[in-house]
Amino acid sequence: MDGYLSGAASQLMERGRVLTAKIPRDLPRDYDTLAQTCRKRINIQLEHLHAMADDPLLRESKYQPERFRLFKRIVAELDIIETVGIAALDRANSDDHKLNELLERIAREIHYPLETPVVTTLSQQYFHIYPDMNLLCVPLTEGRFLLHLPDLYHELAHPLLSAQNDPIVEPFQAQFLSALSDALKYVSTEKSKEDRRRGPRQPGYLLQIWEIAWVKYWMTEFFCDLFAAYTLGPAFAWSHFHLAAKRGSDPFHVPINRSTSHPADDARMRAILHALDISRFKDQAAKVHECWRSYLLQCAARPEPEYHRCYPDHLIRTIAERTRDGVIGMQARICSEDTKDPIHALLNEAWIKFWAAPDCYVTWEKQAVNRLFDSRSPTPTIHDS
Amino acid sequence: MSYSGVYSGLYARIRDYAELLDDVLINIKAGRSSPSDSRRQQLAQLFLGASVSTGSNLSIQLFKVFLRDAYDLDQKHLTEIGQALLSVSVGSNIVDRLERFAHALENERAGMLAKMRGHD
Repeated sequence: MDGYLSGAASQLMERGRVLTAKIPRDLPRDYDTLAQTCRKRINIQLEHLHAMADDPLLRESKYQPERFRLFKRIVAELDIIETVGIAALDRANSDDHKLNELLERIAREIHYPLETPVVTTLSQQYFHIYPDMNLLCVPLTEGRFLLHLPDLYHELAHPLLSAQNDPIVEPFQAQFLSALSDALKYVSTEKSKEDRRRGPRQPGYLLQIWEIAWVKYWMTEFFCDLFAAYTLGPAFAWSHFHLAAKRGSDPFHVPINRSTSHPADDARMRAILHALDISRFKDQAAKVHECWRSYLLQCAARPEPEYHRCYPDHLIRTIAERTRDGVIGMQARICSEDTKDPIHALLNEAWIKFWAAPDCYVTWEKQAVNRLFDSRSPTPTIHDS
Repeated sequence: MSYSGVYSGLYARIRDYAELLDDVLINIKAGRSSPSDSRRQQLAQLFLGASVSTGSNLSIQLFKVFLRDAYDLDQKHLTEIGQALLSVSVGSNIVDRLERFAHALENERAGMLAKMRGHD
């Protein structure tokens, strides 16, 4: 295998150099951080490749397992850089530029404490972010519409949880860890109850799946939802409703065989509504809640008993409160009824317009989007058409 | 809400654990490692942190979950590995366990990459 690894390493070195050459040199400054990240990460992989190919120690037979794993990690890293980072740079177009400007405005409005991520419209899987590339992916045409844009706020929260050695975001991360500890204590208490009960085996196994899900996925998703709810307000709750109604499955889903990446849609909505209550959007929270209940009726969704055990009210409320303390702690802007920031106002107004006259909404939205992106002013105001 | 994106943060963590583990393994096997090495201490703290039932460090919590998912080790074994990494001599049985865990972690990394790409 030594010959194979040496030859493959040489080929990958050339691939790394080709990728570096593919980084465009004529993009707006918004893309500089992504370009630098790609360049830096390619160079790190080139150093690994040189070590893999040339280090006499690594070529000894007893280090071949480590050498092979290193090789696989390098290949994966170059794949990610090529298909995500370089692709975003190589195909950046005017739609991307507009969304980058929009995200920068949002970041300023909410006092986002980190570097604003770069946006690309290359996503094939709804909104998502690569925190270690600081790259936010949105579907191709999503920037032409307003009702899902609140999900940008959710995605902005992910890097807040993965940033390292940054005292500004540590209050948010500390609240996250406290909330995670609350969740794990709750699951542990439930496990103890099960042990005392000497019941059937499945509930104990269920609790283990939930514990893994809380650590790997759910707390992160709750915190990102709640960050969006506190910084944007009711529009985020409507956006969650919109996504669940269009693409959601069982809103009361409880994982049985393996952990799921997202908490149940209803549990997420409960957390978001609690955040709106805390932020004194009580009337609007009531409207969202009414609509959500109607949706649950329409899709004949009913929770199994395990649902309430999986996502107990007291835990959901604690998470909502801890997230708020974290947002305040890092001095991001929590919105209220009095918040007048233009993008905040527009995204909330969009939902008001939608419900006021659903049939006429598309016309209003087209004009609002045109004015939003065509405006040369950094803070356009959008009102009635 | 994200689909592939939700895995990318976790992928970076697993990749970092895998790099750390392989770095420490190479240096131990080459006899050029000591308990004062920062990377070795970092790995020891992960195993020792994972051996206690509660913790407030996310990195340790995730390491513990990956350990449990990938390689079923009880708390006693985790403590043994952690303490061995902090001692002068790391026995061959500990190196064997670390090798097996490195292999399991590699599978976990590849699986998370597939999820990131929407292949799950």
